[in-house]
Formats: sequence, C-alpha cells, structure tokens
Amino acid sequence: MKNKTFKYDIIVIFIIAVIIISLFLLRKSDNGQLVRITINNEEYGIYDLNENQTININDENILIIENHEIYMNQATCPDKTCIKQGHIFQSGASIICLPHQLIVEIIDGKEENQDEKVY
Amino acid sequence: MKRSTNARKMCYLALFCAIAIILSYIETLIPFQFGIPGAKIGLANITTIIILFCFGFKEAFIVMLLRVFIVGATFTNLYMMLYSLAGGIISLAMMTLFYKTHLFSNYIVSIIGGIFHNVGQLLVAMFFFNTTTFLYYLPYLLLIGSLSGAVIGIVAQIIYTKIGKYIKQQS
Repeated sequence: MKNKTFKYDIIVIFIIAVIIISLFLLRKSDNGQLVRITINNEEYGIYDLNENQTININDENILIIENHEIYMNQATCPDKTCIKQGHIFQSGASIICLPHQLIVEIIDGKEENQDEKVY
Repeated sequence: MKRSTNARKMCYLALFCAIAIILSYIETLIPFQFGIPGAKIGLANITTIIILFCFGFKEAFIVMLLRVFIVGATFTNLYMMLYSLAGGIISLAMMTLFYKTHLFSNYIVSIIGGIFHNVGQLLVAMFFFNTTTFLYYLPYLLLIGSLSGAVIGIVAQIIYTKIGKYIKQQS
C-alpha cells in the first residue's frame, strides 16, 4: 500500500516539475520597450521605457522610469503592494495596484515601431 | 449519544476555525514578500487540510468559508477576500478530488492544494482585469505554490499523525 502511494507521488511530482520547467523555458525574456498603463480596463497611456520620466496618475500613484526600468514610487493605497513589486523591465512583467484597479505592464514595442516605419 | 457527538464535532470545527483566523492574522505580521501580489505561505490552509482529513469536504468547506469571511472583514479588504475565496474553493475541490482517490500521499494532496490556490487567484485576477498579462507570473506562482504546499503538507501531516486519530475517535 505504501509503495503504491509512493509510485503515484513520484509521477505527480515529475509532472508538476516538467510543467513548471517548460513554462519557465517557454517564457520569453526580452527587455520591453514600451509601458502601457491601464486603469479600470481603459487605456491611460503608453510611455517609452528608454526615456527617464515621472508619471503622476490622478495624484494617487507616482511611477518613475529610470535606466530602462519602471517602478512605483508613491501610492495612496493602504497595503503598498505595488511599491513592493519593485523594478520591472522584462516584457510581460507588470505592476498591479488592486485598490486603484491600475495595471502597469511592459509590452514589446515591435508593432508600434513597424507602424512608424510604414508611415 | 448522537447529539453529544455532534456537539463535540462542532466544538472541534469552531476551534479549528479560530486557529485558522489566528494563523491568517499571524501571516499578515510576517514581513515575507515574494514580490508577487497574493503570494504567501498560507498557514491557514494547515487547518483546512486537517479538517479535510479528519472530517471531510463539507466541514472543511464551511470552516474555510467562515475563515475567509471573518479574515476579510477584519484584517484585509474586500478584494483580498474575493481572491482568497476563489483560491480556497478551487484548492479545496482539487484536494478533495486527489484525497478521495487514495492514490496519493497527504503531501501530494497539500502540494496540489497550494498550486490550485494560486491558479484560482490568477483566474480571478484575469477575470477582474480582463487581461492575460498575468500569465507571465504563472511559472513563479506554480513554483511558489508547490513549495508552500509541500511545507504546509509536512506541518499538517505531523499534526495529523499526532491528534488526527484522537479527534476521529471522539467525533
């Protein structure tokens, strides 16, 4: 009985490990070029990650872009989770502020760049 | 005789509920951050697992609901309550599924619970924000979920081997 359980345990652990490792490998890890800010499912704006700047959103959140990284500097929410999420720079990474329904995500700038070339 | 058994069971469930609430509170005091919102050890899941092993799905579900509502009303806010509610329901359902097959050890049941707790929270976040950007964190969440699930499983197994038989005899 005990050996039987052990066999299935090993199978499950193996499957979980394979899933996690493959997800880590599949994830792209390029550095993003643009930052998209979304509030309440509405797009607030797109900013360039290569340009050092400070973004003030409704006096509730202050974002700072510095050295190709973006981070939340100040927020009026009680838990400050968005500040603890730290500096992000990889494409796909995001900072989320739940109380203000705010998403800051880094996106690939490729589509926009192509558009610029076309025009 | 039946009434006395029920009263005993109710006492145990109330006790576990109180322990779960205190564990949730202790967890907010630990300054331990993974850098991802919603990622934590989940100490309160120890009680959920022990109730699931000792009594069953129905009792564990009721205690989990009570714990989430009380913790949500006192220590955290409404958003966190919805997240832990979704994670708790999904993880408890999957743990029951794996437990009822009797093919897996209690540690695996706990690891599955930890993983699906995070998956449930991720689903709720994706539903609320209407975006798939959170899938970026899926590998991290699965890894953290399985690690914390293993820790919780070991602790729960130690407690269960010590007091589980006693509680089962009594109720």
